[in-house]
Amino acid sequence: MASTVHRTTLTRMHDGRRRWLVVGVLLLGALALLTSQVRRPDRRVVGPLGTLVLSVLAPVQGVLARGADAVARFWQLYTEIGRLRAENTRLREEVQRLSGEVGRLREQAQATQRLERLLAFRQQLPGRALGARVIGRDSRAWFAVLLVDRGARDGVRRNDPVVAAEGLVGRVLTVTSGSAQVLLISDPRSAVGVILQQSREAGVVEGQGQRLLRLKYVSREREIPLGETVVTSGHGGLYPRGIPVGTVVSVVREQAALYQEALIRPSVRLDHVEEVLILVEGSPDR
Amino acid sequence: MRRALLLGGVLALATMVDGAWLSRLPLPAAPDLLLVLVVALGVRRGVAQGAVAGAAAGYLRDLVAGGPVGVYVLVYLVVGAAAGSVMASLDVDHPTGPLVIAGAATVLGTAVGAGVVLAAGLGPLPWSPLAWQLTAGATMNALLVRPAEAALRWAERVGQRRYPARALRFRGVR
Repeated sequence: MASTVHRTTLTRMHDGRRRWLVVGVLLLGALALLTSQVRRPDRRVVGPLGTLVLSVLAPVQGVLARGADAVARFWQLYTEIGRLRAENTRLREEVQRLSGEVGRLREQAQATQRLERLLAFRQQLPGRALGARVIGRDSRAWFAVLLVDRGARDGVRRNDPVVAAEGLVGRVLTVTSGSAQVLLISDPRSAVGVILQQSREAGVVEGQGQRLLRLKYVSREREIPLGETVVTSGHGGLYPRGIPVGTVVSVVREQAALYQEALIRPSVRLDHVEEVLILVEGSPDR
Repeated sequence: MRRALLLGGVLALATMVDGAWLSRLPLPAAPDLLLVLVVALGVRRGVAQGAVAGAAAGYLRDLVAGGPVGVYVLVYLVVGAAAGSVMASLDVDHPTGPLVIAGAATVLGTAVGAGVVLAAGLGPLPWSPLAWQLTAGATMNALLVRPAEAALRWAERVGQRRYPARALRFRGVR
């Protein structure tokens, strides 16, 4: 029994020595190989075996490298697409932002032009004029009424005339402390005393609930020329004299009628007006 | 013999994968698949086979790398033998075991390689990025341990498979 254990131990030791002997031989061989290589001018000699191995490995490695190239190209394309997509999104956002900015600036420029015209017009008006911004209108267009951001606390009173740079807009219908409703001259409830600027014939312009106004009660003695400007007459006490109301676009002369009539295009684009002046003083009667 | 050929094939394939793929990855340090395979073989098979596998892997690497033949032979030989020598004292099935071995092997391989390059006067060593490359390389190699082990197990399994001669003859007749 003891001799068996002794024999087994010896065998293990022998195996262990043999393993390390293998390692030692390999190490010596490697060192010898390296030494022989380092002494050469090029420090590298592959030899016939190395050449054979390389000639086998090289084509396979070429195939692998080509595969890697394809994957790399695909990856590059993929990442490029991602980068382009991100850049595209960024540029779109930039374009949107700049478009908004351009729109805002354009709006500002137009508002400035309108306000300049309004200011110039204001110089010609008697009394005190109050600038107001249109803050609402009836979306169904059943009533030709505007809501403006000036009210009783600003001195606005009922029946104050409302004008724009191009001419008459209407008059104040109702007033709250901070806002006022303006009855446009196109509303059927509106009637404005006017005279034809050239012929000086008097008449009344009434709203029809449409874009064009109707000029009534004009004497048949003189023909109304097309394109004639109609201005406020100042009669009736609501509106100051001489504010442009519109121009004649067609004349209606009926044989049996006592008066002639005409259709008037308002001087102000009533459906687009955005800033107005309220004449808080100088309109004699309200 | 068949198993040895298969393992040689795996090492050759790893050499080509190393050169064609892994070396081109945009990583801080390229992983060393051959080193990981040598370590795995050494740990599983012992000192002698680890050393033999290391020498073979090093020879292949030297051929492909273009330097003096023998540098990588020495490096991988030492690493394979060292891995084989610690096989009895390591629990290779522990989850962190292979990672520790891969890290230690990377450090050892780098140290041996640096020593060989300096001793043989093959050129100056870039010392400053060495520590960084060592850390990154050890991490990369640790990640490769499991796939390398799987490849070796596959090679050994295929190497041990027996094919009945009769079936081959039958297929030959058809």
